[in-house]
Amino acid sequence: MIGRSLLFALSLAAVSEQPRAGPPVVVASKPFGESYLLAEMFAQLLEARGIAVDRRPGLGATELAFRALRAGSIDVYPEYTGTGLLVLLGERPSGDEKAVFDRVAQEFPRRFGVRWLPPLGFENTYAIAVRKRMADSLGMQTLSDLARHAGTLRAGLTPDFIGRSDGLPGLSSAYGIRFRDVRALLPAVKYRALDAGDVDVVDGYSTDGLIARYHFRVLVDDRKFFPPYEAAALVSARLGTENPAAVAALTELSGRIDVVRMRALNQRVEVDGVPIPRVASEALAELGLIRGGVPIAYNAERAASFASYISSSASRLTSLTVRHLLLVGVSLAVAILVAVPLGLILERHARAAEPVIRGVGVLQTLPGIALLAFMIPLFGIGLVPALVALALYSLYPIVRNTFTGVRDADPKAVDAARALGMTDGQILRQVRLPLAAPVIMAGIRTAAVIDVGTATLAAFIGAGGLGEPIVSGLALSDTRMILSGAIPAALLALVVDVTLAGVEHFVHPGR
Amino acid sequence: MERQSSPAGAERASAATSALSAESVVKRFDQVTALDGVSLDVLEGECVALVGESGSGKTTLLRSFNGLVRPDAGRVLIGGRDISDLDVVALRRGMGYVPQDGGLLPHWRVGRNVELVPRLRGADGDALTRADASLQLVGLDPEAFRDRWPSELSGGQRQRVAMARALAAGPRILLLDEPFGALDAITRADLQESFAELRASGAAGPMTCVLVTHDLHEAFLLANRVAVLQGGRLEQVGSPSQLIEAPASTYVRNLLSRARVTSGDAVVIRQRSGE
Repeated sequence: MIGRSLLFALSLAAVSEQPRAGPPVVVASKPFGESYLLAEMFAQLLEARGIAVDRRPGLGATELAFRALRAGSIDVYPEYTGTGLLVLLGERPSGDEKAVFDRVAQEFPRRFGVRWLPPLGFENTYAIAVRKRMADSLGMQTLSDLARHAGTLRAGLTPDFIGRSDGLPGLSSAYGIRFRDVRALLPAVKYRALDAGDVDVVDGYSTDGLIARYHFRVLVDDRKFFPPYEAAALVSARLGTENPAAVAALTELSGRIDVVRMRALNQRVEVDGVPIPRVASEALAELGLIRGGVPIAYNAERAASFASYISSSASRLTSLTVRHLLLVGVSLAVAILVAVPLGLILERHARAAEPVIRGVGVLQTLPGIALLAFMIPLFGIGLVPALVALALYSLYPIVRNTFTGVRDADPKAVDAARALGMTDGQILRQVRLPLAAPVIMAGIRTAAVIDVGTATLAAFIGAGGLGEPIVSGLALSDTRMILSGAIPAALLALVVDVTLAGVEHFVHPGR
Repeated sequence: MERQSSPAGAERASAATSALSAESVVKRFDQVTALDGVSLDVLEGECVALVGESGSGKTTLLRSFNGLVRPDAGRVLIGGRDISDLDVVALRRGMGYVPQDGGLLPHWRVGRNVELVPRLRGADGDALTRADASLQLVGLDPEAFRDRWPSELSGGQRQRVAMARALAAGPRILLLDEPFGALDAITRADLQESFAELRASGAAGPMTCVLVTHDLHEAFLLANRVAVLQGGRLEQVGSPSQLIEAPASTYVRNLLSRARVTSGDAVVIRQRSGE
């Protein structure tokens, strides 16, 4: 809650319009096409019922989105019952889809304080896909067939799947599948890697629009290993008590989307490249839930050139770039305020220095997503946790350079200064710090350039910035969208580097 | 600081008091004994050269006189008072110091470097005047040099600036650690001469000085007495002519012969110093 109010106080840049009193309903999704689309449908439906919405699409993965929901940072996101049962409750799959839904519907309010709305009407289970030609030549139709050939095959699996009990570990024990090689691949690249023959097996979703784009075969789960994954809205308990109208609106979608419709919608997004807001509004109109013709001002289709795509989204990219600079600027400033004094203190306590600096260095080795995940229970989602995580990431080069810069500052000059009667404090302020300034600046510069890159991860916890098009572009396998975030981010890194190089030159003592 | 009065430029008169004294000073760095029970009195107004090879302990002895080195045993007295009872920072502000490479602060212009000690002593108002006077004393035109960066100076100019910085606050004691050691022969001779003249003229006021050098010629040229150190022990202390005429040990004799100092030099030295 504290995190949430801080978030609202600080994330001025992300405030959306509020037609009615009361906080907007925060609608989130996980970072893959179907989740984006369902969340957008939730959002548009709520808006059509006069309820204000704040969109937070593309939150990290299951862990991040669920933590954010429990922490009250978001109000609703689309989730799957099987995931709820296996990953979140940690239970073994049991029974049919009804049994699974009943189980999670009963346990979640008690254990986590969140609730499932009735399922949307389709299942999206894991789909293990191979190239059709290879499957034909090996005679593979089922996962049992796969088990026989797995020893010669290379798998490219999403990190999520590799780690989940209903993923690779469970699959291995259920079918005895042992791949020759398992590589972690992002959802966005796995199909391309499979198509190109870099890997032989990938994991996907049964409703995936992208599987249809390529000549792939989905192997049959002949031992019924994968539990039912019914899609449903997972909502915070607070939403139910404070905003029953929102819950009622969301429940209108229950049972309305069958698997055929979902697959078609996913194809519109992932294969045809139609913008998600348009696909969502068309789908809601077809279902008779909203009136058609909600004006959507997107003209960017997959056919349009990159240049016209960029120009059409120029204002959005500008605000994302400003947001990105805000993330980098504030986190870097915080890091400098912490790291420079810390480096100076450590210089005075030489014994503690190396262990402490190494400890700070360990922060650097944590995967960005993991660090962001740790932030959610403390700070919720959005700007504040992103700033804290980015600041922690920036500490190391600045502490290290401050420490060594001050320690190694021209020893002869320092000796002369002491011999002529300067106190330790005077030596530090008037001699060592100025002499170390270029080294400290170099550390700040390193931190800043890394920060520009790392800040793209902030999109995973809804903090915006240039990571937003990168994350959604990766999820939708839309190169144009990825580049529209990646190129400005790279240019920003260059500009920051050159600017700080200028500052570094400027602080160089005595020419 | 309390200071006993004594005539300026005093010779080794028995009445002269010690400005600086080392009493059985021992200093170890890890396993190495840098000073092994050294006792030395430096009298008011005289210049003592500490000579010896690298590692003989001469720099360590010098640095114990301004508290940069704390003895493990023995005492260091400044004006008759134990240095450990004194405020070393205030003490250092009353001592000039010139290291081998000048030790100029590279991020400050020449003027600011020379103003350092006057400013530390709170003479903000006339620090500039003192700095200019001090630059003139070492033969540098303040107008031409005040605004230069240390990196723009030649080696000789840098040492002159370091000397000016050491003299700017009018110290009664001057510590010099191989001040001309890194210079080419001609520049070195130039600076040695300037320094000798400076002392002889008394323009910088009455001054006691300790000079660390490995160059015997320099020691004989600039010092009233020479202290020869070897392996952290004092081999001999005496005037140049005493050393030449009566070397106390084989080591001193070898040192003299390696430096090609002959008994002929003793005559020259005696004439020059008016003995």
